[in-house]
Amino acid sequence: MIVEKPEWLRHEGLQIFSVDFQPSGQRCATAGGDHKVRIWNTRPLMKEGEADRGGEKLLATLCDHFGSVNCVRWSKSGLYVASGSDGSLVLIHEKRHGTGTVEFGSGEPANVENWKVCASLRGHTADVVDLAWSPDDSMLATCSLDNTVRIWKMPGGSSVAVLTGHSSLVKGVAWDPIGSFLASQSDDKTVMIWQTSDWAAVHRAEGPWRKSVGSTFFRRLSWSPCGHFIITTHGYENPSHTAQVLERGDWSGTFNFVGHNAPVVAVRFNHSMFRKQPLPPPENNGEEELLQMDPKKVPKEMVPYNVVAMGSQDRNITVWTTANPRPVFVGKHFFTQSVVDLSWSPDGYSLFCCSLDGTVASFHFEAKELGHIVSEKEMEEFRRNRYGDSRSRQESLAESPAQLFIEATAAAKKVGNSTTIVSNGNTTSNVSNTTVVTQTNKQVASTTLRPQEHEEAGTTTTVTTPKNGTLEKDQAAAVAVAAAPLPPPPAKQTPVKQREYRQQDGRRRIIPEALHTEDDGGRKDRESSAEKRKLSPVDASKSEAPSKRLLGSGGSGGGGGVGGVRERNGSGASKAIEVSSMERSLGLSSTTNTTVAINVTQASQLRGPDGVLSVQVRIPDEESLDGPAVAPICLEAKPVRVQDAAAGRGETGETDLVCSQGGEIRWRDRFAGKVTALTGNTNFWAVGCEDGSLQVYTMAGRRALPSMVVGSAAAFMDCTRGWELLLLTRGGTMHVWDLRQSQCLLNESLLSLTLSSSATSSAKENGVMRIISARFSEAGAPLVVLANGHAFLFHSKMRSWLRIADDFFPSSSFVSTWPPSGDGELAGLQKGAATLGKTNFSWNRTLINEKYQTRAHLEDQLAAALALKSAEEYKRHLISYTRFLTREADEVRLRELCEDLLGPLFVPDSEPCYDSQPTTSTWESYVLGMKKRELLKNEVLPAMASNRAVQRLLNEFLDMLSEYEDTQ
Amino acid sequence: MSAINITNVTVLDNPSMFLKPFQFEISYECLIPLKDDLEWKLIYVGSAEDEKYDQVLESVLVGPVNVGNYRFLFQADPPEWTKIPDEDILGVTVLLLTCSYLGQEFIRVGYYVSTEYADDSLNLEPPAKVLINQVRRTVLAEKPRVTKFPMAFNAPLANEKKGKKNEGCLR
Repeated sequence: MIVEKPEWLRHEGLQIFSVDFQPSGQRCATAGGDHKVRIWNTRPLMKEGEADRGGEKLLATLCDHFGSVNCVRWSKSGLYVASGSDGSLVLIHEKRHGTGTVEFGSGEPANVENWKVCASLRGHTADVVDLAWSPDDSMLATCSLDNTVRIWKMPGGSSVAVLTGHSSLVKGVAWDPIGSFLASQSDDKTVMIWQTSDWAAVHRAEGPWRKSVGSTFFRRLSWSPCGHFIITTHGYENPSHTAQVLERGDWSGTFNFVGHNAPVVAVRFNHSMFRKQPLPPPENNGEEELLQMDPKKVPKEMVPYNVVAMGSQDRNITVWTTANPRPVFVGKHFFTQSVVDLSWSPDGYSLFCCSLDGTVASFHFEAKELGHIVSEKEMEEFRRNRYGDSRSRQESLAESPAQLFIEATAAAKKVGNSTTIVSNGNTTSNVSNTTVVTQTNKQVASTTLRPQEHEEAGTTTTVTTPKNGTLEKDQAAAVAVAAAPLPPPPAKQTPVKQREYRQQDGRRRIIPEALHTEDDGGRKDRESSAEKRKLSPVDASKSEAPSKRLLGSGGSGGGGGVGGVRERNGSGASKAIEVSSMERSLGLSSTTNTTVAINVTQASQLRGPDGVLSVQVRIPDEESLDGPAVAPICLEAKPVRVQDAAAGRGETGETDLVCSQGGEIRWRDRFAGKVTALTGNTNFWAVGCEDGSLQVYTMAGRRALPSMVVGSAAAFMDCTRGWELLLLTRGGTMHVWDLRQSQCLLNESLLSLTLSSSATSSAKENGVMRIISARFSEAGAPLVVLANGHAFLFHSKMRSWLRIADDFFPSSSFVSTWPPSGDGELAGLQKGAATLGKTNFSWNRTLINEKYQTRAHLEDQLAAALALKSAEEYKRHLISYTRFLTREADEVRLRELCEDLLGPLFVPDSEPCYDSQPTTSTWESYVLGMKKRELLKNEVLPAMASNRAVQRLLNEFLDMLSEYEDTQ
Repeated sequence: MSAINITNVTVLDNPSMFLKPFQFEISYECLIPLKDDLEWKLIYVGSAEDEKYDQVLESVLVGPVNVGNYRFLFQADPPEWTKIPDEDILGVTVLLLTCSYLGQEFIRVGYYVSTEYADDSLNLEPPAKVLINQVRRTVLAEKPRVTKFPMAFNAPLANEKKGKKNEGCLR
C-alpha cells in the first residue's frame, strides 16, 4: 500500500468538505470552505512516478458558490458535477468546449478546462449538505439542513419531489444501486428509506443512532454495490461508536462495524465487489454459474464481498470487507481533524479521503490487500439475477424490429434536414477562426517589436511612462494572452464595436460587441430578434413598424398607415363599436393570380383633396403567356373637386369612379357621397360609400344592382375570386353576399368579439375597437384581425367566431422558435399577434407551466390550422404536436390522436350503415385533402419513434395500420 | 449562480489626468439569456469618511443579454472635483464598477485609485489650493477586488413564496 498526501491539493488551506472521483477516473473534484469547487487531474495522483510531470494538476476552479461547498458529486456519466453549498444552492456544472477562462479578480490561475454552470437548483431553504445521483443519472437527490430531501430531474433541474419526513437536519443521502430506493440519514437519529416509484417513505429505522451523542458535519451513509446493505454513520453502542448496517428487505439492523473512537462521519462502499481469488480462466465458464449457484456450494475464496471505507471524527480511516470482522486497514495520524468524505477510484484500489484540516490523502491498495475486483459485467449480471433487469423497467430497449426500423428512417430524415445547418455552422466557425488568427498575429507582431518591455512585464515592476501608459496596457494584454488564449483578450488594436444610443428617459444603452463563440451562427439571429422585441415597447412610433411590414404586403399600402390610426374617431364615437381602420392593405399571396391592393394613402381620411381610392385587378394571363403581362385593371374613386373658387368647400361630396387599364379609361361613373371602400375581382366591382350605401358594378361598369343600403359606411370590403363579397361596416356588422345567387351568406355583428376577453385594452380604447383587417381567408371564410393582432375566423356552419391567432402562450416553447418558416396563412397571423400583442413576457418560465402552455398552444395551432383549412400548416403542427406528446410520453393523447387518424376498420361506404352508430359512419378519411391514414403512416408514427417509452403504442398502431391495409 | 461573469476589465487610458474621462473595456460572458438589460455603474468614492461624497459617474444599460461572450466600452466623465472635500482629492481612493440586474447589484469590482500631481516637485511641496489641472490619477488596474452577491436570475421576484420556486434555471 502506498499513502500520499499531495501538498498541492488544497483549498487555500481551508476545510475540504467533499471529494469525488469522476467515474472515468481522469478527474476528481473537491469542495471546500473557500466557497470553491476544484477539479483536479488525477494522473499525477495515481501514478507515483509521474507525479510531477503529469501535466496540469488543477484543471478548473469553479467559483460560483456563495458559501462553503459541502458536497460535490460526479454524475455516473462523468459529464456533470453537482455541488451543494451553504446558502441552499445546488449547482450543476458541465464541461464546455474551449479552454477555461480566468475568474476575473479571483487571483486564481486560468482554468485549463472550461467548466461552466449549466443549471442551478433552487428550492432548499437552508444549507445543502449532501447529494447523490441516481444510478441512471436521471435524477439527483439533495439533502439539506431544512430537514428535507429534494429530488430533481436531470439534467434539466426541475423539481420531482420534496421528501419531508425527517424532523431534523438531513445530513446524508444514498441511492439504491438498483434504483428502487433512496436512503437518507438525519440528525433526528433516524434513517429513512423512500421508494422511488412514488416517493413514499417505506421505512423509518430508529437504530443505534438514538444513543449517539455530539454533532457531526455529515452523516454520509452508503449503499453497497450489491444493493443489499446500507451502512449508516454516527451510531453509538456502549462503549463504542459504530456504523450500523441495514439490510434490504426488512431494513433491520443486523450487525455493525465497531471500532472508531468518535462518531463515524462518512462511509463509502467501493463501487465494485471483490473476491479472494481471481476467477478461474474463462473456459470453465465460471462467471455466471458461480453466481447462480447456491452460495453455500461456492468455494469460500470465490464468494464476492464488499469493501467499505469509513472516515470518523477521531481523524482515522478504516477499510473493511464484509467477509472479515476485523478491518483490513486502519489509518491513523494522517489528519489533524475529522475525516468527512471518501471516494474510491474507478479501478477500486485507490481511496481518497478529505478532512476538515484542509488536506486530502490518497491510499493505493493492492490486490493482495483488498482482493480481486469483480468485473463490471459480472456485477451487472449479479444484480440482474438478484433484482431483475432494471433496464427493462426503464423501457430503453426496442421491443420490436419495427421500432428500430422507424427510428432509423426518422434519423435518416433528420440527418437530411440538418445537413444544411451543419454546413452553416462550419462556415461561421471558419470565419471566426480566421479572425482569431489575425488577432493573434497582431499580438505577436507587437510583442516582437518590444521584447525588452515584455521582460520587464515578467518581473512585474510597475513602470509608469509619461505617454498614457501604453506600456502597461501592453503588459496587461500580454499577460491576458498568456493566461487566456480563448476568448482572445480585447487587444487595444481592435476598437470595441458597440452600438450606443440614448433611450427616451435619457439613459445610455449599449449594445455590446459579441465576441465569437462556437455557437455564433445561431446566436446572431436570436440576438437580432431579441433586439426587435426590445425595441418595440420602448418606442411607440416604432411599434407600428412591424405591423406595417406584416400586413402591408402591397407596397402601395404603406403610406396610409400612420394617418389611418386616428382617422375615423369623429364619426361615431358614441357607438359601442366603431371600426377604425388602422391600416388596410390586403394582398393575396402571389400564387393566386388576382392581386388586390387597396391604396388608402389619403382617401380613407376623406379630408385631403387628393384622396383617391383605387383597386387593381390583374387579369389572369390566358392566351398570351409569353406576351407582355396584361396591365392590371385599376378602379379609382376620386372626390369631385369644385372648380369655381366661389364655393367655400373644395369638395362637392360627389365622387368620380374611373376604371382604367394601362392608362386607358374603360369606364367612368359619378355618384353622390364619399367612397370609403373599394374592392373588385374579375367578376364584379363593389364600392362602399360613407352614407352606408353599396354599389355593385359589373366588370364593364354596369350597375348590377340598385344601391344596397347597409346602414353605416363600409370600412372594409373584400371579395373572393368568385362571387362572394365581404363587407364590414363601421357599425360593426359583417355582411357576406353571394352576388351571383343574390343571397346573403352571413349577417353577423362583431359585438361578440369586443365583449370577449381577448379584446384587450390595446384593441379597445374608449369603447372603440380597432381592426386591422377584415377579409376572406385563403379558404374563403371571413377573417377579422383586431389591432392587438388577434385574428378571428367565422365558422359558417357553427355560426360563431373562432379565435385562431393570439398571444396567450408566452411561455410555450414554440413561441420562442416562432416563426418556424414564415410561410402559411396561420403563421402570418400568429406573427402579427406576437408582434402586436402587448402581453408582457414575464420571464419566470416554470417548467410545468411551460409544458402545459406548449401543449395547449400546439393543440390550438392544430385546431386553428384546421379551421383556416391551411393544409400545410396543419401537417406541420400535427408533427410538432406528435413530437411533443411523444417527448412527454403522453400516451392518452397520443392514442386519441392516432385513433382519429386511423378511423374505424371499415371505411364508411364499405360498411353497412347502422343508424344506431352514427359515429363510425361520420369518420372522414380525409382531412384538408390529405388522407388521414397516410398522415398517420408517414408523419405521426415516425415522429413517435423518437421515444421508446411509447413504443408499445406505436407498435399497436403499426399493427392495426397494416391490418387495415390488408383488408382493403 | 451567476448568469453573468465578468471575464476581463481593461482600464484604458491609465494613468491619465484627473479631468479626463474614465474608460473601461469590459468583457463578460452570459450563461443564461436575460429578459432585461444589465445596468453598469461607475462610482467614485470621493471620501472614505462619508458615503455622501460618492459620485455615480455614469450608469449605462447594456443589452440585449443573450448567451455568449461580449465586450463593450464604458466611458464616464471624471468626478466633479468641486464636490470632493479638498483634503480627499489627493491621495488614495476607490472606484467601484458595479453591475446590477433588475435593480439588484450582483457584482462589484473595486479599484484603488491614487491621485497625485504629475509633477513630482508639486508632490513634494503641494500648493495650498489644489491645482486640479496638474493632478493625475492612476487606477490600480491589476488589483481588482471582486465581490459577488447571490442573485436568482430569471427566478420569480423575490417576494414570491420561497418554497414555491422549485424550478431550475436552464440554459
